[in-house]
Amino acid sequence: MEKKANQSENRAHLEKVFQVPARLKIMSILIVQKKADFSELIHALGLTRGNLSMHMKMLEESKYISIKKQFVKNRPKTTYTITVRGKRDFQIYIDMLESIIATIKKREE
Amino acid sequence: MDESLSPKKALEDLNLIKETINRSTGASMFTNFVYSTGTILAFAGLHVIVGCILSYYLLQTYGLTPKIKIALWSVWAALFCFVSCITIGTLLKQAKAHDISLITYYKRIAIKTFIQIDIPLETMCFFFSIYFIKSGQPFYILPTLAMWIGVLLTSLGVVYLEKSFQFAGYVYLISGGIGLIFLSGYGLAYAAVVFGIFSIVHGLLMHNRYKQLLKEHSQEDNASANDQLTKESE
Repeated sequence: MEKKANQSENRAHLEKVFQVPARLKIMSILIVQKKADFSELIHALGLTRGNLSMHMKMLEESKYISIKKQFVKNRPKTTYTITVRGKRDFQIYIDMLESIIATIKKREE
Repeated sequence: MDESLSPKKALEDLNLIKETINRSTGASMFTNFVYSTGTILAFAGLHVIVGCILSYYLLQTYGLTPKIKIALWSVWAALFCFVSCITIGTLLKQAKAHDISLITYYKRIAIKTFIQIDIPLETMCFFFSIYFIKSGQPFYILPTLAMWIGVLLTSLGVVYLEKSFQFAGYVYLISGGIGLIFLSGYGLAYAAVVFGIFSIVHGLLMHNRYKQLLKEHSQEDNASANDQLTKESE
């Protein structure tokens, strides 16, 4: 009973995090590249700085990414790396989406 | 729980993930390839200059006789084959580094959007070249070629999010435009400047940037490995 409740809670959390296309895109980029810096992501996603920061904060709070801030040639550089938990939960979300599509296909058949 | 996500939204999300992953895979491989082949571009530029000098020497010394025409074609064909072989060699090396076949590597680099841009451009360039040859103005092929490279590079810059490509693209576009308006009979000099010197400069800039990026990445990796070691020892 408790396990089921936990699962349902986890899924609700996944849906909440990944309901925004920008966060899905960020995770898709990080899955491939493992890490990306702030300007790279701004360029790739076409988001404003504030908007991107907000999404990154949400992903960090969910422990899906780790943030590293440093100075390169006297300029601040923020690098984001996908965490093991981020990879695992993103894969679960993809499996979830695929199972929905598979169910619909089965029903149609 | 699954029911709370509509099938439409699930399909949209899956497509979005697939598209972004494809784009990122192609982009990172392509950028890596381009950076590592910066030297090839410089090398190709050097060969264009050599070809231009040789052609100029042959034309000045012997004039445009049928035999010299064959010699000129042979010189350019040999240079083209040489540079092509080196490019294919580099592609093979890159594919091997990613542990995939050359065809798979090409498929990943040349993502759909790139092919959709490139094929119409190549078709246009081909027909324009035929038109210029038929109308007795073959020297206009060179600026057209420069403009094709320009449009291709700017488009690649947009597709692969690479600003330096867009910049280089504009250089070729403008030089192509200038060539179309002002060029008549200075084909060799034009080729030496646009396809020779520009390529060398562009290639060296790419190569240096790649080297710097590699250095930065290896420093970052070393730093994070050291951090991990320190944490573990604590």
